[in-house]
Amino acid sequence: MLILVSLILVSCDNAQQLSWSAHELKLINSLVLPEPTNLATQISLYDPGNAVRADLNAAKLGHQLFFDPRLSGNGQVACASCHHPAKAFTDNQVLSQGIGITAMHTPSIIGVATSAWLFWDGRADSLWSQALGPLENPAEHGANRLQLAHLIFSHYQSEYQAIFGQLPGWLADPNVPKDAMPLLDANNATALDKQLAATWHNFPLHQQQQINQVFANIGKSIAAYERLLMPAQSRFDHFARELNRMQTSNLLTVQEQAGLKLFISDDSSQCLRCHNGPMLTNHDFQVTGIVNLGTSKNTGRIAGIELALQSPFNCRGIYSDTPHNCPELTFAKRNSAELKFAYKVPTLRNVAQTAPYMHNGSIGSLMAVLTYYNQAQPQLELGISPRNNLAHYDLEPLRLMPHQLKQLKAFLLTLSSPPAIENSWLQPPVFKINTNKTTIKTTINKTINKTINKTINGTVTKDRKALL
Amino acid sequence: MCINRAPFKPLNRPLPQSLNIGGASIAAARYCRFMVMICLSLLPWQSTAQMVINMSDQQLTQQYTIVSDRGAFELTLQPVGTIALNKLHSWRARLVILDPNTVGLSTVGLNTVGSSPVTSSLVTSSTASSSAASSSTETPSTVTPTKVTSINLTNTNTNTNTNTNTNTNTNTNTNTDISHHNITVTGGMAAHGHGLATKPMIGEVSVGLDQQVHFLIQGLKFQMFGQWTININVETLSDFAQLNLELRP
Repeated sequence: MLILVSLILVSCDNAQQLSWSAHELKLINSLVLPEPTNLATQISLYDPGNAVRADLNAAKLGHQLFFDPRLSGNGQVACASCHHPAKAFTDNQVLSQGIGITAMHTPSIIGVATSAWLFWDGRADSLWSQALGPLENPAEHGANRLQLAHLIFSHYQSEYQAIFGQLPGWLADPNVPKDAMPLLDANNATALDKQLAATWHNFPLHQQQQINQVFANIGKSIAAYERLLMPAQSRFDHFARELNRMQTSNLLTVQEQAGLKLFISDDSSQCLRCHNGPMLTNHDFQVTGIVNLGTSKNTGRIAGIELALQSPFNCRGIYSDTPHNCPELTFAKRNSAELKFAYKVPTLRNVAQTAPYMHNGSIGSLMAVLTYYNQAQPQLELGISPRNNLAHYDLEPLRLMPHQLKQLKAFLLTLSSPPAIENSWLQPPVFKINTNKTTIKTTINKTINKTINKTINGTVTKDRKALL
Repeated sequence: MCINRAPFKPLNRPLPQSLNIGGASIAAARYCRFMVMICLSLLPWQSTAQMVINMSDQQLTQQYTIVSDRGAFELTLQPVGTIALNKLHSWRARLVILDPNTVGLSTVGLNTVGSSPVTSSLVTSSTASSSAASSSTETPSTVTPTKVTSINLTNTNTNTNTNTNTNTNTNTNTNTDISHHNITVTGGMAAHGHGLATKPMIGEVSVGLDQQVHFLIQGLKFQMFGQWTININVETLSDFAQLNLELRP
């Protein structure tokens, strides 16, 4: 009898087909990534102020710069040090190790060109200006803009000049200092920062602007490369297309389809409020009640938008190629309680590969994230509650059953896909190092791996000081 | 009708803790919310209008007319192009004053500029007055009493640039001025407890060939599907119009 019941149950399970309403089908279609051939026309890619954002030569230069550890204070930190191609361009660390420890978790940059705002707090209004931030952050690359201008002059001169025109000739003068940058954070300036700033102020304004322009162009090249990192079609996208054509599809399991049904239901999960559109993010800033664990005083978007407006490298600045066409900056919301502790909604594409989660990396697993949203309790134990610091809070308890959380998780795992680009773009390039007038071809894989596996706080600070 | 009703502010949802009382209470709360919405939809709201936008459809010709809360004006709105989720977009607006006496307006004639509309371009932040004043260069040619009986389409302080601002009534800063300075746009999703994702602005306020006030609402962005409310508040008329939008995929 028991066997018979089991057989009937199994039979029923296999025969189970989820039905989809017309409204659900429209919601599902709104999440589908356009085919690669239509991607550029059907999805908005941002990088205001970057005239070379779609220039292949700029992308090639950006590819080299992205993997080059010489863009750092100690010669060991590249963009790829934290944005590993093999890990969906994250590092799977809670916080990342550059020259020091970063204040925020490293997000994936697959599909990052679809976002109008960059960084967790949106303090950059373009991909190119975002790329500049880590380069001079003492905890990340720890480089300085004059050092980087010299690097371009010495190692990337022909590639650079083919895209951006002549480099300043005075960089060839051996008497020109090697390191200088303006003071970025007067409140936390070290002796080294002050020394670099003093050297910077010895340059006349026009030379400072020339250095800034080279610096900005480094960011624009890296942004042109990152723009290529659009996700390929995931299992979900294939399922949705087939469902659209045939009204049914087995490309996702029943469990995964049940998760999708929950995902698009505002009554059940509310996921779609923030994770909508083809990148499964609204690119907005929401308050999830996750606060920084004492590592940062970052108050989220409310501070981020002010930093974006003040940045000399924003869309309206003199280094922007379209300073009069900056709608996102113009219409940005400011001074709202809704922005306090609000952080950028990340994409859910490749979420299976990008643990740990949240802007501070404080939640280790996907199920733990779903459980957090299910309960929607802000981190009260840290003294943050709606009654004091959190004036606005975007979550409501979902009260989903455990099996529903598993279904949601099963669906989220169908969103994985690598960048839709030739593999050579995902590898460290073979590039030239000019040392003692000898050109050596090498790759930097070893350097990157070495850097990641190294605890470098003390030694690197020393290295950075050795710059002078 | 309520007088001097405050502009829309997002409702404060119950604190998360108050919902933390079990599934039955959640279901009851949702049921209550549903019933409230049904009741509200049955009320003869003159001041609000319900508009459904299917984002998969073309919206180029879609427009909607609303009467303001106190009946002072009528507003016709039309999206510029299609509305897409998470993208900035604009709306064309046409404002007609219906009953100026009820809002204490004077009956000064409307100053227009013939076939060339008066235009004040989009101005941001603290530089609004001076840059707006320098944006219009036409000379007034006609005075045409129309259904709109009392609009001085000015750019506030004419002292900031008297050389260029010759088109408008010199009696500026009256309570009948309509410019981008005294039209504000607010809104949000009451059910979600949040406001707009952006800070929309008013651009290109002008008097068209139809002798009515035309302007652009720029910088709107909807980052979620669902029920949105948009309030267009005209300070000089002490009234506002409310548009309810339901965004669907």
